[in-house]
Amino acid sequence: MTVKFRLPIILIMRNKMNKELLDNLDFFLNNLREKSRTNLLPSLLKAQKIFRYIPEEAATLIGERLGLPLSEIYGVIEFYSLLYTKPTAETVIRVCTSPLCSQKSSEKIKDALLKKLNLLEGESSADGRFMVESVHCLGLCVHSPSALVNETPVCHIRTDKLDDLLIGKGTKPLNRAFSDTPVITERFNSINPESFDDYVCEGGFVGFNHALSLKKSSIIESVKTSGLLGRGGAAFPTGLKEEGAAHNEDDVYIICNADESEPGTFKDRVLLNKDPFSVLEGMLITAYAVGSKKGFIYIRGEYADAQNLFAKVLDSARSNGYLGENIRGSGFSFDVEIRSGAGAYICGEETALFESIEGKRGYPRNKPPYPVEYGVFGKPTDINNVETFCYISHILSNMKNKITSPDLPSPSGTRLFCLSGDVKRAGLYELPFGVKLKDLIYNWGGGIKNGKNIKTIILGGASGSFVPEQHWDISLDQKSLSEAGLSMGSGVIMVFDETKNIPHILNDITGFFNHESCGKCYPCQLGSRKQHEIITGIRRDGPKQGDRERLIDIGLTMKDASLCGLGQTAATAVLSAIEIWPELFTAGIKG
Amino acid sequence: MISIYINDKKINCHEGKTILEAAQSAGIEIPTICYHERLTPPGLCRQCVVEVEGARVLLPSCITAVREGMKIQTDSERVTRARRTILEMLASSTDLSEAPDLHDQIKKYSVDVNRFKDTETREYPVKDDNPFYVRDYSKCIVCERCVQVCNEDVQFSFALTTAGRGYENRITTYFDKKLPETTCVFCGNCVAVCPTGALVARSEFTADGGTHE
Repeated sequence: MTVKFRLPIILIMRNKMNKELLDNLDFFLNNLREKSRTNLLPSLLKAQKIFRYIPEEAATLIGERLGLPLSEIYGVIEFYSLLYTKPTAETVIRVCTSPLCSQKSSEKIKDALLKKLNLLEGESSADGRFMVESVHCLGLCVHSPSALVNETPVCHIRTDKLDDLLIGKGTKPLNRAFSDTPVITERFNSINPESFDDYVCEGGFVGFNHALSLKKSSIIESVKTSGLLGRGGAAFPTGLKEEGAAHNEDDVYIICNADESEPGTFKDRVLLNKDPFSVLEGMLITAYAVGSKKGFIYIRGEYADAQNLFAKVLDSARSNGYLGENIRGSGFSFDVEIRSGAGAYICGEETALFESIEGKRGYPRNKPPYPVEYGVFGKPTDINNVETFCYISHILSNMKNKITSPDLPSPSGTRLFCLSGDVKRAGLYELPFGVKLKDLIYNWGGGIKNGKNIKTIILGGASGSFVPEQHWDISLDQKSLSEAGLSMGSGVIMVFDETKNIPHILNDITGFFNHESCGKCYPCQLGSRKQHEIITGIRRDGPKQGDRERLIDIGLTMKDASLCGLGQTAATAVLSAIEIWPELFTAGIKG
Repeated sequence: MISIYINDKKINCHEGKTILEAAQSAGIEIPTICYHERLTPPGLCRQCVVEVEGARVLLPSCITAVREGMKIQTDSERVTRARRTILEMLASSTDLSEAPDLHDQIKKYSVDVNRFKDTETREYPVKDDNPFYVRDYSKCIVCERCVQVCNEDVQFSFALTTAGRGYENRITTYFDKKLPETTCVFCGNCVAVCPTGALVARSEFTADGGTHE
């Protein structure tokens, strides 16, 4: 008998391939220690890697293995930018379109790339080889404009070097830091970042070993008296968090928030690439002080290099007895798991990060309850930024070495400043609190490129504000900044020269929030879109009657009524721009 | 019993109550959108925000517990601006024609429904894929009540989910499948809690002259 209808050969091949790929995914799923929702995001990222998208069969298999409703899985896939329901390509090129790269024409480079490949943004080429899309801030602001080619960062991309870009060839990030009073950046040039021995030779684990000899309460007390404030942006006293978490009888989790995505921030990328053991040591000290057995480090999905390095660091800490059961014979057991983000700025918000670790859409939670009472998995959680953990290890090692001020990282000590934009020497600077803004820009940063003048400065990133000219020489300490109504946030200083256009900068900022709002609460879901549309209109056609009042109402509504810190600060730049340059927003006045 | 002050008026109420409950029992009206008395309050619409002395931002009254001596303003300038602006933005995003509760609020807060007329409206084709109810998501305000009743709050069917992100948040099914191909049991709870007519029983939809795909 002859077979009348046969499957086209390509379909047979595809089915066979799919079977193999599904087996590959199933192997991963079967090897998971915990077959529950918390492994949803890792499983989806694995599927994304295997198939280059998440086909329905893969999502269904994940649902079966983890025991999850399929609708919930779909909601999660749709939330994260690095997870796709349509096939992507062998090489995905993500061009940064955040303010700093955008000001250096990254949009034009992206368009040139799309034209060369004859593609639309986000569309995969017919042969499945290339796809190009925008991405927000890769933490490569020092080397802007930049891009990510699959997992490889490429700096200083150019329209005349598109062929190089396609194969991921180009300048690599330097991850340098500058300081004349280095505290947490001191080891940068003297160690191989993945070497346990180097770390120990350069005073590594002195703080942790000292902590093991102390009473837990005195560790917390020393962090409190150091005056260390969280360096993720909110500047909450680190010691108070530790104290709050330590009070609980319950299991406590330690989390390192390495979901760095605030435009203009690149300090965590540098710390994780140059001194990752120090981050781990800070986590160990904190875990010991608050009585935690388990920690997570949540590293953003775009920082694959940092994730790979940290995995090596964890392995070597384990084999050297600094992680696992009964660490250094102290009876203290602790381990750390790396979790990768999947393209969502909001997951840097601590409660959204918890939801993400739990395998959910990255929606922030209403507070209270606060993380130290009810954090990840509903358990007390002490969550800190990468830089904060580095300072914790140095506080403890300085205690041991009896080194006191000025090296103590209290508000009178040092912090990291991410200086970028039109300065001659953009870079990461570890400087004392209280350094003058102009000193930083002109002496450290070498002044403005090409002999130009400053047009404006933004402090604190996309969620920060434009600095009015009378504060251009402000002392960068907590007190002076808050008196001026400014915030250092995650240490961002973006400098723009006189040739730059304010509506263009604002359009990049509002575009960022339009893309990154999670959409849970109305003020931010609606406000981040409407604000962006109005700013785009102003940039294109100039202000219309009522634009200024509309932007103020949206801005104040977002600031007052949004659920989380993202929404509450998403209009900060716009509101500050309206105060400084009202004419740019008022119809009939030529700006 | 504890004492709180709402709009300078002293009110005695039980500890553990929310500001919204305390206000309601004292006859003070606070508008809500996503809140439903039988469901877990998600605190996402922020329409019920109030000004509490000492708080940096406005607080959602549906989930904020009262504290002894709390001083609350339910209609301050900040509060009314937030409510009015939320409604103005919502009116330019979604078809509110079948949302009578919102019409009352639009009137009360002197909302200019055309204020953001020049911005993009969310429009979706009507989904008519089953014999029981019709889904017209152009009328959806993503209050997520339907997802709540479909999931852990009532039915445990897990047919519906929120997908997308930000302004593109939308309610859908697994890979946007037709409802009969999902775990939906057609209990009707989602239709019952929908405040804007995005979900309507087929009989009502056709009687209203709605058009099918």
